[in-house]
Amino acid sequence: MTRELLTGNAAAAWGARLAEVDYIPVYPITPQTEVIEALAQWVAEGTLAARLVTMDSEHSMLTAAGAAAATGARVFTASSSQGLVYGLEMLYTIAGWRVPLVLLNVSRALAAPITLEPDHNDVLAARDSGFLQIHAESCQEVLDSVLMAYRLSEHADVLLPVLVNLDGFYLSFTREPVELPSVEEVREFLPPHKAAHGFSASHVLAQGVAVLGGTGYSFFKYQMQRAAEAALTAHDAIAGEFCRRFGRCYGAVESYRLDDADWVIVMSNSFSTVGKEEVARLRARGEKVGLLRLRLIRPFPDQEIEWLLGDRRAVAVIDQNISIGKGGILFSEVASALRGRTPPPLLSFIGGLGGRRFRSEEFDTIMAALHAAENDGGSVEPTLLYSEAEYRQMMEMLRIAQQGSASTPEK
Amino acid sequence: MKLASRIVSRALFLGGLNVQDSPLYGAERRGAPVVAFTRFSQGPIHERGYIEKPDMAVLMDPSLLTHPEAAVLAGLEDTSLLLVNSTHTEHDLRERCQTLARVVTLDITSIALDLLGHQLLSAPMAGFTAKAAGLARWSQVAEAVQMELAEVGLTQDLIQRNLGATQRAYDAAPWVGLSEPRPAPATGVRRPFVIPRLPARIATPVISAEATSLLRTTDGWRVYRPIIERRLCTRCFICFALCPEGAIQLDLQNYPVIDYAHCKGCLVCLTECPPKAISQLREDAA
Repeated sequence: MTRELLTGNAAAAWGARLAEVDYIPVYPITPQTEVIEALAQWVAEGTLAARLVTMDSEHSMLTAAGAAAATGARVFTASSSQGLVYGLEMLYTIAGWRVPLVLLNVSRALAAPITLEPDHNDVLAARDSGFLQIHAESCQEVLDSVLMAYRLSEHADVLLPVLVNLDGFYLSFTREPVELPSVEEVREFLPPHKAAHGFSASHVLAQGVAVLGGTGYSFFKYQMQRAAEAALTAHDAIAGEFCRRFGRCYGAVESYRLDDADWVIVMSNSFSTVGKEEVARLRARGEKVGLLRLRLIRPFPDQEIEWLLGDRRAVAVIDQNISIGKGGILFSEVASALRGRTPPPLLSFIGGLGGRRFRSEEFDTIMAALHAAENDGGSVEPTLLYSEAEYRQMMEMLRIAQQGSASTPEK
Repeated sequence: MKLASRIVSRALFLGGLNVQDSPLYGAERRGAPVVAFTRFSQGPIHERGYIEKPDMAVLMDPSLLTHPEAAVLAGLEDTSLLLVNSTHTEHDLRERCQTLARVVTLDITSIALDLLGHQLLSAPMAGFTAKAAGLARWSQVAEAVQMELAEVGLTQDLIQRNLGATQRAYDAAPWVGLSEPRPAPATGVRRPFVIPRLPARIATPVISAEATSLLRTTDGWRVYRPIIERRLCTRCFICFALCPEGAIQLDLQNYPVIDYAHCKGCLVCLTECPPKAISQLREDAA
């Protein structure tokens, strides 16, 4: 075990390297490109015995990844944002093949307007595909999650591909100290993969066959649902073993100062770090508030969430995504987990779109809204976090965009 | 800037501290303004992303002082440290940019041009920073420079010359030291601002005004200013045709004229001019 300064992108690449992957189909996109650059360099210098192939698109890349995984190769691939949604068709396809592999997504907000900084509309577009999803908060967690994702994906009860998400910029280009396990330590945790089906020259096999009529289709989709349900139990066992071996423990969700909390803020991904700091600040002021971080998004740990949130005085979910015409996606997911009993008042906040920073005072506002919601149940609509100053700035930019400016530049 | 931030955090990491560094940049290439952050702590770091209230700001390109969008002085207070790559004195600069921060200047560009031959500022800027803020001993800085420059693939020769430039900056910098971290500012409950619905005609990412890119000046990107010697110009139009920014126009007599508000100083014109009618002049620091 060594301690290194690594970006989230480098940590992800190290995850693939330590998992001793066989095949890496790639297509670059900001902010993911450094991941494949690191892997390409290791393959070129011979420190990673894998075949790395540059593809013509994310669609081809994912097809190649799924096909290689079907032969029993251990496969790693990575994308982001527009690339992920370009390959979306193949996410559903290869998940249906029931082939294990790890797909890294470096979150970046979707066009239009086009941008580079993160939110989670890209990764959540893949929410219903059959890929399991792990969302990481730190560079260390990116590395650890890639290793855990292979165990989960290759688990005999699961055999579904796993997507590991990290935020662009806030993790992808951010360096932090990361504990790097040795390849021997990882081998003990993650033994070589044996394909469930496996192709060979002497053995005829058709994969991804067509079905007509709902009976066959439903059967296979229900099998995927059952496998994803089993993944919840499998994840607990894998996380327990990871914790024993490496001393770092990751549940399906993470509880931060939740034990005696009357109020809970729910977040995910790298901005949870900021949320925890704000919770600590509010605690110092006497507020009994805690934070629940959603980590395993698929399968969604409904029961654990109901158990953790059911008896609180009020809960606020902060989504870094927006389902246009509905609001926060994770808010809806958390709300559905709290069905079947009298749930606490549940508030929805949207922030962090396109990498927009959270302001400290916004957490004061959320705290005040939680107090008020205990009495009046809170607003039904999502609160869109924005400031008057930002609005004024936008009005000025729109004015220039539509009328030009009276001032002429210096010559 | 990203590399300077990385060298500083690597030096702190080698000194046994927890560090976090993160750059922010857009799609533009070399020369465009970039910001990079370094945090360090004895304990774990529970923050992420943009630093709104830095204890220290390091400014590599003083021309950004006059760019309101860059807002390089935002969040600085009288106890903050502002390190600037500039030929100007501390006093001049404080007057010029109306800051209360403690200002230290050092002409890093001259060190880089002298020892490296190009405007390669990262390593000497990191040396300046490490010394002036009292962050790391020379041995840690030297090791950090070697590690970070090797990681980006520089040759041993260039790494050694960078070490020389870094040491010169480190030795020339005064030791000023950082002030104690400031307590977090008081916050307060605000009524959430409710963003109104506007007509789609306005509320769509569309630019209908003409030539708004003219408003975005890029003169601050230049280290050197190309100057056309009219006397030697043969009006061959090569510079006009090759300028990647379209910043060279032809006047009524078909002589090329440089738009200095938008010339980024790439010097393609100077390199390509057949009669060598274009010379370069170093832009004065702010």
